[in-house]
Amino acid sequence: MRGARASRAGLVAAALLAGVLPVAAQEECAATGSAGVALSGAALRSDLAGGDAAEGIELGVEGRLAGGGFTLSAGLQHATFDGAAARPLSGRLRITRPVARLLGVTFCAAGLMGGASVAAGEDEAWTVAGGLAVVGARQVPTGGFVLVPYVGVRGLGARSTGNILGQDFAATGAALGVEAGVGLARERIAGALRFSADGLDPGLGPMPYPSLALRLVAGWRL
Amino acid sequence: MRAHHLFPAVLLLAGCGTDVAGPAASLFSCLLAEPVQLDVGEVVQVAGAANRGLCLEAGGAAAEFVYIPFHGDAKDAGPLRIEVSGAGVDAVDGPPSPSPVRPEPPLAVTLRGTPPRPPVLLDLEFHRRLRERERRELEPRLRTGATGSPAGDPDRFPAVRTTAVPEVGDLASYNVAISCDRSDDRTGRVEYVSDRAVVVADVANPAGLTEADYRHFGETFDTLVDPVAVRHFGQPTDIDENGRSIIFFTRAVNELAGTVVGAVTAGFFWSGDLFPEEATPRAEACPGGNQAEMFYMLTADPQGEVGPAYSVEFIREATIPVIGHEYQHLINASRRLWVNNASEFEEPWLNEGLSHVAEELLFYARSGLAPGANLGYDALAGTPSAVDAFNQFMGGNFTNYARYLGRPDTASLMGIDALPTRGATWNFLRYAADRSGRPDDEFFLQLVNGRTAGLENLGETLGADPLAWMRDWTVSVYADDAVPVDAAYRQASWNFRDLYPNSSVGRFPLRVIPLAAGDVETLLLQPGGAGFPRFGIGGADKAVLHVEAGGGAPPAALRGSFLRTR
Repeated sequence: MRGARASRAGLVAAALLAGVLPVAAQEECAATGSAGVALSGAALRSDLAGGDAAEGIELGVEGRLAGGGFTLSAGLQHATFDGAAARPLSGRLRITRPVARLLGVTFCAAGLMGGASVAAGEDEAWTVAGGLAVVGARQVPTGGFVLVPYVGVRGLGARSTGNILGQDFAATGAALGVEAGVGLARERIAGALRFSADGLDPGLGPMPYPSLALRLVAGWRL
Repeated sequence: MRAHHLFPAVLLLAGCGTDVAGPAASLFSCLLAEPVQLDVGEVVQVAGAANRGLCLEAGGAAAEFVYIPFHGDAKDAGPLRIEVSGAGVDAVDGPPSPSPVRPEPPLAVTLRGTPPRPPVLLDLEFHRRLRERERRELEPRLRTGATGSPAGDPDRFPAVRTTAVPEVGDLASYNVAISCDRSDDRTGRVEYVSDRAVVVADVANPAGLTEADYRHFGETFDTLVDPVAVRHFGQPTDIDENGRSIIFFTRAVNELAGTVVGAVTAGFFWSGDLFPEEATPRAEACPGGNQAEMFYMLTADPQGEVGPAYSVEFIREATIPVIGHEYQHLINASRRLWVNNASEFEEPWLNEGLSHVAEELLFYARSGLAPGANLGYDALAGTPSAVDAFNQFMGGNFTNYARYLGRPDTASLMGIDALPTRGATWNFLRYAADRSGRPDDEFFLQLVNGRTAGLENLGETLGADPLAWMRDWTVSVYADDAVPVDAAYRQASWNFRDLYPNSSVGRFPLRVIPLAAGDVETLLLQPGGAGFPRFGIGGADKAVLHVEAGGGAPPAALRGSFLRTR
């Protein structure tokens, strides 16, 4: 009994440090020696200081390479917010490794790193963010498809610097985030629908991990 | 925690994070959100966290703004401390508010070209304690389930003491202890009896006022004070069945001097005088009361026999406005007690504000002018007797309002009884009456005859959230006659931007705060208090303000307005 509690406590601890991989976790964790490329489109919501929010869209490309039990994935995104002149450019880098399997669910640990920059006129700002994530995913074969629902949490830290309206600033924050979605694969075609929510302070500006994102990904497995 | 409870808990935690403190938190609003462009005179109103991060765009031309944070909370809420800073802002100090400095305005505002009046510091500490004592000692004596007389029938008041109409020379004893339990009896001699007043003088008064003075007070009460007050506030009760109100000039009022050094109590009314000597179904007994509609007035004391010296001329000048002021208190309390069967007396801030409205109404009646005319100096100077009427009846209101304008953050229209509070409350009530579009005698009649008190009573009369109207009023305090704004942000009756510079104040005394980039201005806002940070937009063509309360987002009670002024 005490051992079961300890394992649950460990799971809790892992979950609190974890985040969700932005593509189907089990695919990445299980796949070795594979690679892929994808295009992504997302609807974004980025909270602002006054309780309002900037809403916009994001287009991006993603690539993935797996080997030796690790999967490395990277993405580059370009966002456009309604009515705003600034168009942030952001990138994400992620390395994952499966760490456990329990009741058919694969748990992966991940390291996350990202950055963003935005400029408009004389205003400019940069953000770096990073953290740890854990995701649980289960592969569900359905007809000729493989469905991979997944969910997980991540802990993030971020720092922004820049000069806006003539004012230099530097700000730091940390937050928890959650991501859930479903991956879909058939032969060489792969896709995913992902929803994420991250609580980094709106004062940190454009993020590789925005307040809310609903992202659709489609690509090829090589 | 069971395993299946874990995930919901994590979901709840997701989205939580640390807050970025300081002005940086709002900067990204000008990068990621569509900037707001306002026309001159246009207002954007926000609440809570939305007070910060509003990105304002100049729109190609030099633009100036004032941000007006208003602490819209119940008067018993504590003060709200906020810090205001801006990025992309330039401090501005030109018109319409050329001076951010705030020397104290004079204690007696008079119009340009008229001789100065002696400064009078009213002893509001005594007044405040009096109103509080009424609520503390007398409200528990109200029996809320019982009716005193049929509501709405002003002719059927209960007689708690029947007295014949007195005659000149009659002597009567009055308890001036302002207590249901203690006695301090003074003998008064009836000096004049008019249709609506009995003027009584304490036989122990110092020599000074004459028979002609008493006649003047009685006749003026009949021809000016009573008609104006009854029309706007309602008929007072007549519990002593003499058909009149007693105006008692007594040295007992002079003896009150000393509560605050140099301060004077010009007169007062005490609700205990309206309570019965023996309990009735409506009210428990207040044996120490005089069972009469009456008020107590300062008397002349040219030699300073009783206390500070008060000349006959000073009493002649000051008495009528004070009678009008106290008569509102009398009508308000008597109708709550015996006509409207209210469960409480009016809250002091609103009660005093209404009495200062009474003084203003006397000005209109005396001058022949009317509310809603945006009176400026030329209009007053061009109207016979208007300047004298202004100095006599409006000098107090303009003095008090100037005091409020000098400290609009730490003062409040709902604050404790003080000069700035009275000035703000009077000004707000005038604004509200004008904005309501209803005639004064309808608007104030409803307000005085409410059965509730304070904000609740005000809300019932307005038919709207009174705090929202107060927020709009704070905009009018700055914008009226300075910026072309919607009617909701105008003060239709007075042109303060013209009158103050043409008075002994010499300038429009609103305290504004020039806000420059890098400044962090701290404001301690009382409930009902407001600030006026003012700024232009610098070379970036955009600006954003950041507002914090206690290091975090402002609470919902902070209702702010952004007004473009140029």
